[in-house]
Amino acid sequence: MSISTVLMMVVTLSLLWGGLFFFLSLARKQERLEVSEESKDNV
Amino acid sequence: MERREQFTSRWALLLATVGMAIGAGNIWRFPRLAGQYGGAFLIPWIIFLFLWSIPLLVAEFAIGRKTRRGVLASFGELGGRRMIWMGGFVTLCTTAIMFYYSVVTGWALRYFFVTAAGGLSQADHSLYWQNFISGYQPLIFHLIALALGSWVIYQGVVRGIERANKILLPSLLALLLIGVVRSLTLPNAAVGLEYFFGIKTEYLFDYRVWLEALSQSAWSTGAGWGLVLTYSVYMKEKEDVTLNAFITGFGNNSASIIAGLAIIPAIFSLTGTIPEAEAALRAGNDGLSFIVIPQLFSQLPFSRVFTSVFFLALFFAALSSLISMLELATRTLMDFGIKRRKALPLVALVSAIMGVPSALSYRFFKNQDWVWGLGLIISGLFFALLISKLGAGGFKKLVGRHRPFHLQLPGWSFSLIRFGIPGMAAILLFWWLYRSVGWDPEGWFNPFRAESMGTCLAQWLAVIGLLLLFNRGIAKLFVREEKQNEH
Repeated sequence: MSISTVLMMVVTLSLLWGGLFFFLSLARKQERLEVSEESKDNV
Repeated sequence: MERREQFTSRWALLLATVGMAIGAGNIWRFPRLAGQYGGAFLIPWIIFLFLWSIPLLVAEFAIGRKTRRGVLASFGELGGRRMIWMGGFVTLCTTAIMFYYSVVTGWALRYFFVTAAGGLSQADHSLYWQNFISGYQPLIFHLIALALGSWVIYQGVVRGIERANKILLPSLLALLLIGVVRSLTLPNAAVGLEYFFGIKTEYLFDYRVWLEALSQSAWSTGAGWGLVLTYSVYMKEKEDVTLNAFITGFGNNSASIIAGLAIIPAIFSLTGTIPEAEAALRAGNDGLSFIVIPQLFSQLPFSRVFTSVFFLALFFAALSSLISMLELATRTLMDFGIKRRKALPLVALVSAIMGVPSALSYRFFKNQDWVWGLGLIISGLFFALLISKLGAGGFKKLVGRHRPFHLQLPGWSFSLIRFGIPGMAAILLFWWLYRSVGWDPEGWFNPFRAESMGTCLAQWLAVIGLLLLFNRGIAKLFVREEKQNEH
């Protein structure tokens, strides 16, 4: 495989899968923040 | 009035929307195009994820959360009575797709059974496919697929849609990953990877590759179909819709890459020469899936296992999308005040009957796929017009930002929806219709040809004409329903 193909593969996979995992972790973080906000409101 | 259900968590909603987005197109269309055009296709495909799919997904999530009603009623509520017919077009377009999509789901199910039983190992695959689609079996499997999907919808949002997607989506990913491992460990798999990711500059500057990429992005993510809107009716109030849209879009495209890795290297490895592999990729969606892949996979050790894994994955992908289409039609009837348990049997019965011509006639199937697949671009355009009507302020308010840690859309996103999406839709429609003239220079205007411009215009105009005729009547029905709900 040529270097440009390997580079394209790495960029595509990291952009899409990396992006997906980034957004999923952001959603997880939002969930935690919401829970902590709600518990503060309850106090 | 029936109490509205809600997804139990954001993750359940996301599983449902990603399950909706990942359909047959990810498995049978994406690898075909990505294998032919390689990296030159992937670049515009990723660009259009941001320019077409994600803005429309954000709009759909936000509209469903705001109105808590299906597509038709949402257009009426947000755009006014004069826009109800547009919501009607989106609803009918997706419903028309559902009529033949259950046939495709049935094909995949039948092929799963026959390959798992070893019935295809010695067969002439092309002849088997021809005999299969010209017989009565597609009708039986269309009904079975529809019954399975309807049973899920009948159970409701939590016990049906949520539970089904919790099983279907992880299973689908597991099956595709098995395919990836097998495909990448075949001899000469690297040739397939070279074709998948290599950038050929002549394709990068070919406008046709860009338009194929835009079409794939529009069809594959489910943006503009009204399906995300329908699921968003059941989402929690203060969710970050922008983040949900990004997860749905990225989840769909990531799954497409997995499907590509499972199929493209296998095709290049199992065909003798590169021209043969290129010819296999040009075999068309169903030709690739139902003739070429079983034929190639039959050369593998344990071919029964790998071929049936492929068809089970295709079946799961198609079923999770079919479920969302059934819910769209059911939700529309529920907006007229009909309870789920009465609306669903009606939807299932009509779908069973309307799917019969596609199940029994391959030509009719191709016609419907051509007309309503292209109609989805008009659906996307109508969503853009609805958002344009709300104005920049209205759109910002609709999307909302309920918490400081929620994602914020850039200020130009409204302009992208207002000007960019109608522009892209116009170019796409013109290109596809122009292409159809080239396919059939003698009969492109003939409404009775399977894939002509004439058949598209005739069917779209008939639907739009009827919707405009009954626009006022539909509006009155909704108003009556709204008043009943108020009391």
